[in-house]
Amino acid sequence: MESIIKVADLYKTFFLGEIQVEVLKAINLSINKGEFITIMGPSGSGKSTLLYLIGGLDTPTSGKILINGKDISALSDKDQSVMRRRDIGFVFQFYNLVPNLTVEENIMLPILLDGLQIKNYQDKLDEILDIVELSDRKAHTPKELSGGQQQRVAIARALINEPDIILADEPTGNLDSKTSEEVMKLLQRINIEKQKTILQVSHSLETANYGNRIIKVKDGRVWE
Amino acid sequence: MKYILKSIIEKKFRTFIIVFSVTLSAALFFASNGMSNTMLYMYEDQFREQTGKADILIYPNEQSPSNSFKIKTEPVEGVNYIAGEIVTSGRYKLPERQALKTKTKWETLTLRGFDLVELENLNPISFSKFAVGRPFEGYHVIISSIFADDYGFDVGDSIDLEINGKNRNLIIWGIARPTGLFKHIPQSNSMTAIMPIDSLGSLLDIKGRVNTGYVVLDEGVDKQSIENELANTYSRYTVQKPFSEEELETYSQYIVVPLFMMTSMVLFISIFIIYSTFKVITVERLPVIGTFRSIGATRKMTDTILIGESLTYGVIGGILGDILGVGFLYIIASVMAADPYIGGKINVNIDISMSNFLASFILAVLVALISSWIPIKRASKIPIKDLVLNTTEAKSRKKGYRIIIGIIFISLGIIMPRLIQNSFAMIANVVSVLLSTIALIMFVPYITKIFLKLFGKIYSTFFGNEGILAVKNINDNINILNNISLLTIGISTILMINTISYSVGVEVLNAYKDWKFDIMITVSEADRNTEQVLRGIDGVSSTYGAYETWEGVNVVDTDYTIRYLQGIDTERYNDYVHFDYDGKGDPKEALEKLDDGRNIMIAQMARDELELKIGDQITLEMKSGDKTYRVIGFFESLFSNGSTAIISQKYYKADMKESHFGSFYINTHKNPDEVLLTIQDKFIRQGAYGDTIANMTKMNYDSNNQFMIILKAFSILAMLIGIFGVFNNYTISFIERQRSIAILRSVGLSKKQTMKMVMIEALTGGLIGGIIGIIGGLQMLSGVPYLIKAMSVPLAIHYVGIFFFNSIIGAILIAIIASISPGVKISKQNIIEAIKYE
Repeated sequence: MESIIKVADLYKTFFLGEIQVEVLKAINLSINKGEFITIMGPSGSGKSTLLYLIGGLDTPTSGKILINGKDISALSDKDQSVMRRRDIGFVFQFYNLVPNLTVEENIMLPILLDGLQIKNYQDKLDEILDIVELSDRKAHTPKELSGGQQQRVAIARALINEPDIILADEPTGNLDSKTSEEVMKLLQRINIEKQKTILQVSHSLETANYGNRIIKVKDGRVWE
Repeated sequence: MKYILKSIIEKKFRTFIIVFSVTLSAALFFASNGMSNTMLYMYEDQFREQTGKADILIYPNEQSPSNSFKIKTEPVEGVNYIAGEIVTSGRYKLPERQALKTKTKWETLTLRGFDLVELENLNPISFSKFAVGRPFEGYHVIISSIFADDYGFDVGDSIDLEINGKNRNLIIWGIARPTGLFKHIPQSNSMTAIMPIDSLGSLLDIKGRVNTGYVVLDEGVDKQSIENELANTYSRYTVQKPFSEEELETYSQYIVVPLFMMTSMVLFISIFIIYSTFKVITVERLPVIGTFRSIGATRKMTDTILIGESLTYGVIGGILGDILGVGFLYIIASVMAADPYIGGKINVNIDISMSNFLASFILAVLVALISSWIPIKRASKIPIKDLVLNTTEAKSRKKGYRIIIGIIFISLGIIMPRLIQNSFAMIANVVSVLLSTIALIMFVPYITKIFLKLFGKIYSTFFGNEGILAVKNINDNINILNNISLLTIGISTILMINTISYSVGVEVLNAYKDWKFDIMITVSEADRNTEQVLRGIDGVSSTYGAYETWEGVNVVDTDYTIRYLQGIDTERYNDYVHFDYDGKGDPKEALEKLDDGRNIMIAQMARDELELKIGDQITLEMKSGDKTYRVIGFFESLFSNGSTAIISQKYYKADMKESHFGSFYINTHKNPDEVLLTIQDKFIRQGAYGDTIANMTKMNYDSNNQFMIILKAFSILAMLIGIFGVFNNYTISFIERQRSIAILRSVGLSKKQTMKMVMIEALTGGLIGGIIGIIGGLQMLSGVPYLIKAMSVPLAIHYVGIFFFNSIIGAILIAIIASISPGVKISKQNIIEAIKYE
């Protein structure tokens, strides 16, 4: 199988005041294209940190992260940003939509940031809105939507540029069980139908069951 | 209190902005408020230097039988004493070497005769030296220390002076310091010397008589009734107070009201800044307020904490404002004291009263309290549940009422200056400017939306998709809207002041550009012979004698007085004065028609006041009785503030019973300053008063400019507070937007793109602020012509393209510079920390 994400000897250290905390130690991982992986672990174990490092939102203390063979920590800010736009889609626990933009504008953000013409992506937008079942909500602003709807907008935003990888940080952490099920089914569908590699962080085994592989993180180390 | 102080100290920049705003508001209020009395003090001082303790003056006028009179010996109840004075001019022939250096042969002296004992009571001389033990009598003279230093004189020396055409040898009895009567006034070309009144009277053959009587009254008497009584006693002479407090007060209003207007603008900006800053303070304090409330604190208690903080800012600002206010008042008074017409300086004597300190302090406290009241009350109304659960959310209130209030205010702002044109015109204009500004601030969100729609369409071409994002970010961003408002107020105020200042400058130059000669001079009792002498002076190429009156000619059956009337030589007038004829045909031919009968041509300002048209007849109160003139044309002139008219020389001489020229217009082929000195030397006995046109232009310009400098300084201070406000708003804006920008970063916005977006936002905010500022400035300026018309001062507003351009560039630069630091910070922020913040 083709490896899309490769993590080699990854370390991440934080400073809490003067105390040095080693959050991740000697992490080695290989994730293949089309996998749906759940990273699990107790609070403070470093699972979200691992996700953000893979997504290029943070830089490792040492080690390498290869996305499609490219070492992201060696990339410039501009190239990292381009990678976040084109190769990676993010879904956050608190949706992280821009409040003053409409659903349509929020979804189109990666397109806009890539300097592309929005009008050329209208068909794509309609297709994605159809997948996330929000076709009738595209002119609404986030505060006019429920939590589940907002998370579906976030998923749509993550899909608009057709990235190979979707990173989700506790995508159901802020949702009730029924809505969580809907969101997880949607992610599963995207994984199967669109062959997207999904890497999610979660506390819940229930949501982990939608994926096909579980990586556990404890005390800064991973095992399967 | 500990909590309040901790909060104040924690946010240093925010504390600085609030305290700075309050301080400047209080200081400018102190200065404006104190300026009225300060001007009275200063001008009274100026008069008192010449008139001492005199409560009333008696002196001859045109109707008096003689230019000297006897002081009546019968006592008048309430009059303490009357000191007499004789005035004449004397001249001192300069030693050869000094004459070569100064290019003049004579030093002119104003010789004043006084009884020294009376003078010591009336207006004491400050002696640097005098002849101890020798009485001041006979041919003694007191000279100024400047004169003594210039020509090397000492007490006991003899000096030759030419008095009344004869050479007199006097002994220097004393040397006076240059204060009071001896104050040196460079522009007067004359220094004071004092002789015993009896001796000077004898030399002038008016012994026992005086030219001026200085009346000093007893304490606590009714000045007006004694003035009336003396007016009856000296019925053929002028009896009046040395200066009119009413006139001074009216004059000071022209200075004080514009100062108050600028103070109001500063106050307005301060209130705006404190209000917006307190909105942030209350939002920040909500969790603490929630905690306090949940453990039993009442609304009143939590309100008190916030009010206490606001009060602290007010008290600190009030104290600092009072201190700074004294400095401001002193600076303004010093600038106003540098009167270019006097050439010297009026003594600066500022009004430092307890009531002013108190008023400014109270204002500072009120500004702080009122500005913070609404945010505090809004926070107070939030239910405890929302405070504790942090579920408060800014409700978007329908603000349709803003449009209605804005329309009402702007309508009043437009109408008021046009309707109110009496003595309240100035106050009406100030109120109009304030109302227009408030209205503009209310319109800012709506005008901004229109511009954003426009920019949204063109920005993608210029700035790419970051431009579109920037426009979307500005929409509904209250901090950027606040910045646009601050820039609007600042830019409109500066534009208004700069345009008025420039217009005044242009008008001053215009007022003199009509004169096609180099020197204007007045020689007493001047006739054709005088003109012949003038033409013979080296450097004089041609002269024109003007029959004129500055005393004003009343127009019968109206309240109007034509302040300046000239009887012109219709053949030559146009060679000396550019005649800006307001009619068809050749101006020279039009002028010649004045000789055809009792015809008059009137300046446009006077025409408008009198509502005249060609062919109308007006009757003038002239010395030979009422004379009716036919209006045959109009002309444009700002001379004598546009209250001017011309008639034929022939009819002027007859109707005004005048055989002497009022002034001469002189053209030169040498340096006009040197020619002027030669003329003054030549006519030293008659006294030749005048100046070069270049000098008159400069003095008039300087005189107007000093007040404009103060107004400009006020407007710059207003802008300065505004700039700090803009810095603060950008900082707040980026703190509030940390998360949204982090979201954009997470989906692919690079640091460079972040900075580009922030800069486009600043550019857009600055551009819109500049444009609305220009609209505001134009609205403020639109009322000015009505105001100055009410003040009977002709001033056309001259709009300067570069000012508009500078306004926009200035606003953009302020916005961009203010957003650089927070922009850099936000582009470098930790995305994860900002995103996880919830």
